Amino acid sequence: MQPNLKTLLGNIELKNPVIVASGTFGYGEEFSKLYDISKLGAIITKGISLKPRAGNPMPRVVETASGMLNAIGLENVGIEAFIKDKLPFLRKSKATVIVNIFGESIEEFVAIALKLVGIIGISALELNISCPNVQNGGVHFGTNAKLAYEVTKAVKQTTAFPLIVKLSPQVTNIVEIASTVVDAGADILSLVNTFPGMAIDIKKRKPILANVTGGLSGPAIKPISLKLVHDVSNAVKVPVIGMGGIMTANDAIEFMLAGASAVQIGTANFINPTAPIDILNGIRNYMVENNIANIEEIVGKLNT
Amino acid sequence: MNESTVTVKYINQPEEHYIQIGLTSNWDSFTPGQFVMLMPPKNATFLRRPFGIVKLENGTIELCIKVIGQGTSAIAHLKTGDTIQVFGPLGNGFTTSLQEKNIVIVAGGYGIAPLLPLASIMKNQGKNVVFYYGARTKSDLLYLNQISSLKIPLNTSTEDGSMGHKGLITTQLKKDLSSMNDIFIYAAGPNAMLHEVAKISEHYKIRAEVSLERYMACGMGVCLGCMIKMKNSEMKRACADGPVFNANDVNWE
Repeated sequence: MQPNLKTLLGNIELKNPVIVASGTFGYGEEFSKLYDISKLGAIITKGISLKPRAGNPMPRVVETASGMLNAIGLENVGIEAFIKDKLPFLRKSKATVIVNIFGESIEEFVAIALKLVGIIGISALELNISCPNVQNGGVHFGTNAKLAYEVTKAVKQTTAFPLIVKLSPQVTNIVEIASTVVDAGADILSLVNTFPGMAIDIKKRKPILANVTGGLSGPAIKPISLKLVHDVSNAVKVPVIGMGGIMTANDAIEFMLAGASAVQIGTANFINPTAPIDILNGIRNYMVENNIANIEEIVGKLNT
Repeated sequence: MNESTVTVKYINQPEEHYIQIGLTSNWDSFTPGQFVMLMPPKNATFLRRPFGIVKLENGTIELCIKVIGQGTSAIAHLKTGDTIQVFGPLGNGFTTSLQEKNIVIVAGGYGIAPLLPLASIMKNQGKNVVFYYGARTKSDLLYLNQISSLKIPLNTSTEDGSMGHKGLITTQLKKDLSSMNDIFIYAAGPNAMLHEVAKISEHYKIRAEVSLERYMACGMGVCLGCMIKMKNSEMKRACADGPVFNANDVNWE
């Protein structure tokens, strides 16, 4: 019997729980040359801002032990070019599309959400209040409960799309922030974004990244991310999407057992271009081997 | 482009710090200037490494690799019959249909890799091809036999004078340019050399294409970690928009 991987995230139905993370999949075109991207649970676009952004100076990426630092700085085409030039391709691909949006102020977040009102081919918005690599906005919203509440509420009032809020790990009490954004109207939470970090070139005595610091991702952050996902999914009633260092199906299943209804695959896309498909197949095999008929039978089902 | 597990057919070590590695391949073709992302074995590095493609012959691709760090060193320790993950061919190669009759190829060190198959294509098109090949020292000049078997005039230089003219290859090129016309330049090598080629291209009004080497994570245009600033302030991805660019489009500052 074929296991059923259909995943319900509030009102959104996904084919399966494997989602690709913002900033690791562009706008879908590149990976569509490798595999059918509509097979994925969903695609989350590169973070979109109101105006196009050029991003940070180079170097922007560097590998570290079991992971990498990035400080791209949300380089993107801007909301208008996204709707005009990028979305038509995604629509045609039949992929489930979630648009990640980023603003430097509440007004900007609202303005982007407004531009997306009535646009066809989008299943949800993901609110990026956790980017560690920008001067204004980003993680400042995600580390301040009051701001996180306000921006979530303002966007929720603007949009009819289901609203995912993407949380930063860079807080003292993630459950508090999570509960706050749920109170403000978040339909779904995704966590965690990258951890702030740095690397230094000892010959030059200079930080390797031009931005000095960057966001750490990859297996190095997995155990910490897993614990945060466990904490949050036990505390909130809304569905949680888990991420942070997922490279294999085994990793993905760990996050789901910890309480995530779905997972996001990020950095793994750079290491293994077919990672999401491999992970999807691995989850399916795990279900077959363990006689699991429906994917929700593993969500939060830790034996304690 | 595709992602596949391939087998090492051979590994040669032409000089102390270089290897030529042959890998099985199911590709039909590639354009000189395109590259692959190789996953160094045994988790030697977290990210893959990009390498230019020297040739595709009888189902085998050859890469030329300078062994400098953990990743390249792990690749150099592979044995015939071992397997490795390869993703490619990636990026946009050199333009191979040109109106110019005379082709000048400028290579620096292991920058020779993508230029060798290009030289052969140009030669087969009946173009007059001339090679300018420079390096730090004699042992950094690779594939000299292959160049000579293409019967292409070769000018060499080394910074220490151990082979050919002493000095930079671009100095050599500038001396000769006054007597040439209807030229197109192709170049690959260190950034400083490519910048010099861009200046030559601008000064002598010669079209030139350069292949840029950059640190990169994904190799396919999604991470935005290898951006190149253009003169018109546009940002281009070295991996997916390049690695080959018109020399004069690049902002070299």
